[in-house]
Amino acid sequence: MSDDTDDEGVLLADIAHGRSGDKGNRLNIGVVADDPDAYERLREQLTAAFVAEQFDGLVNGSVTRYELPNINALNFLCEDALDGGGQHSLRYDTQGKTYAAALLECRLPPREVA
Amino acid sequence: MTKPPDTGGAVTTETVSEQLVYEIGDPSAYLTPDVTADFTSVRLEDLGDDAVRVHGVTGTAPPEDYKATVHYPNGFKLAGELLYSRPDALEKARRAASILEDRIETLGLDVEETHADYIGHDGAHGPAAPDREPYNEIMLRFAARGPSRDDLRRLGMEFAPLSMAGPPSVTGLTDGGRPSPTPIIDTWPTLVSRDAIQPEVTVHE
Repeated sequence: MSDDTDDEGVLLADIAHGRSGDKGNRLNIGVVADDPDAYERLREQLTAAFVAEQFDGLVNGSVTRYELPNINALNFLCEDALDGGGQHSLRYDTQGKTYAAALLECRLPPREVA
Repeated sequence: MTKPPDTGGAVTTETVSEQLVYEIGDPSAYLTPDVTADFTSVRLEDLGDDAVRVHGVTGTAPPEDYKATVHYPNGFKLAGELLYSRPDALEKARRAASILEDRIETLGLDVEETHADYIGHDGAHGPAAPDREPYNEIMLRFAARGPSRDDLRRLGMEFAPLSMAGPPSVTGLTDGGRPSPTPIIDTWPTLVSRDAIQPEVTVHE
């Protein structure tokens, strides 16, 4: 693991990268871990509930998580997330293109040592 | 996957992985007209020199229906911007937005929904943006949606007066201070039976 001293958790951007965009009124955020260890941590801590909490007030529907272990990636599909999406949305970021950056700025809590 | 040499950028397992999860939805069932692709089976191999081998992707039969995206007019929207400077830039911009809300009510305009972005603070991330005050400047972008083009046009006339009768140190009025409504063309994604579609390709030499 890249961070053995884990008292304050870890910034997601330090162990992963990502990209986001729209599918109609749904938001898609892909998060790719830097290595298999980081991927295991994401599987453990970067839950659908964690993502839903970060986007409280932006994402109004459910969040589904998909796993792509072959590329160390998680994909999140968020329902009712873009104020109608496309031309309907009154937001500046109508397509959620910047939302992956918001997620990567989040800090995962310290890992419980077994 | 590769690219011409000396063209900038990078083709690596990282960039290819990001592209794989871009707007993909369920990666184990990516629907296309020809195949239901399972991208969880993908294997990537970095060959160096901006080349990545992509292999192993499996698939099953395509869906019975085609996807169709239907577009239809659905009301109008308007967005105008005003730039507020320090000190208290965010507070000034918020006050201006609340004045616009008051004007909508006073004038009795038919507005379904409004939205204020404070660019420099939360224009990209909305309620997910943390506070970082004090800001040097904040761009207020105030948007509204409704069925009446005339009512939104009237709302657009309320931006310019804010430069003289609103919070001070404001500049940068959009469109001379009168942002104009634009029609909203909404999308309705739906399914169409394959039987109803006869594909035809014509190649013109």
